[in-house]
Amino acid sequence: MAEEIIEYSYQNPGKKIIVWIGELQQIDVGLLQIAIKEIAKVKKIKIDYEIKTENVELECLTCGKRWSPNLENLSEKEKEVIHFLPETCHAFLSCPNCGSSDFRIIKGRGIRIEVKKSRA
Amino acid sequence: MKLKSPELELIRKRFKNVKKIIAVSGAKGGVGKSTVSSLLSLKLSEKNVVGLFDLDFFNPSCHVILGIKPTFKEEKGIVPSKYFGIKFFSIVSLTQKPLALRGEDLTRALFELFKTIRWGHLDYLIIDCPPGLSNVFLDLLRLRLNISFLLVSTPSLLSFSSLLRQIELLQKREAKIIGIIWNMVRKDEEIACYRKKININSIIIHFDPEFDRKIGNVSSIKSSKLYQEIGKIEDFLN
Repeated sequence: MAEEIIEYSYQNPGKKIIVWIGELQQIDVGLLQIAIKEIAKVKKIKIDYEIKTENVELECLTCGKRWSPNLENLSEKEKEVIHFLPETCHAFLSCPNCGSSDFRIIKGRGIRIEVKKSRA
Repeated sequence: MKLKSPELELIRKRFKNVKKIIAVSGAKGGVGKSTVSSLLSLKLSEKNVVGLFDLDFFNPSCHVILGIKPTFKEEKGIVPSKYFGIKFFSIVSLTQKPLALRGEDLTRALFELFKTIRWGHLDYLIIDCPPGLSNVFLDLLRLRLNISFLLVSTPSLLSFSSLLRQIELLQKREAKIIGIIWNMVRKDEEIACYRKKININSIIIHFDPEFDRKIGNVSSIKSSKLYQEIGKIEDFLN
């Protein structure tokens, strides 16, 4: 992913790259920043970017409750599985109101990249 | 959910070293798709590099047939582990917990796995499809990965009518149908009337009453009558 962000930056000179990471992706932002820095150094590219996290928001399709689960309550194994396949969250999370695992992921899944004009 | 072209590109890249992708499919449940997929994979792996992808998220069963507890390695994606010479992946490689997904989530999960799993070089990738003609079936068609369909049916009118619907859909989409497996046949005459109505190659796999007791034990499976019969499918593939 670091390479992809660098590539976006390379193709959009003078613009700022905003990377939105859904919380469900369980990506280590610190590690990603290190990887971006290293690749940018090797490729001699100056990159203006910002990483933002989009918190998870779920909606129960049984009772309608909306909630943001605390993913830190999951085990390391469960978090790893969600990292590979975010939809597996349906196996580990359930509605705090009615207990149903039939819910919709409203926010917090996937990665999207926005290109903005640099302030500089 | 629309598939973006970079995603499609990545998926095609993941499958570029896979020579043949065979979807073992059948609109009706309980016709033996997982058994055919598992045994065919075992048979092909005697002479080829084979992958088996259990795409049934709701009722995965290939791992039960093979008697394995599948895992994977993380190496720039998911690298399936090998069992009996077969590279194997199933939703149970990630979690044993039941996973009930609605349509859109099912599609997302399928694309995510197609993007993430690194099959490497394969002569054959056998995909065990879930029953039905909804998400997984439609998504396999829209990926345009040169997938060939091996259709499984039992000699029952219910299964046959589902088979006809699936064939019509596949032909409309100009998908390649390798042939039909008439599975669990007790008497060859049972399927004569069905065979006359379809102009597609087919073979008969006879019902093996002993097979259920061999599930979960590959060496027993390999000594079964059913396993010997599965060898006939290889002729279809060449």
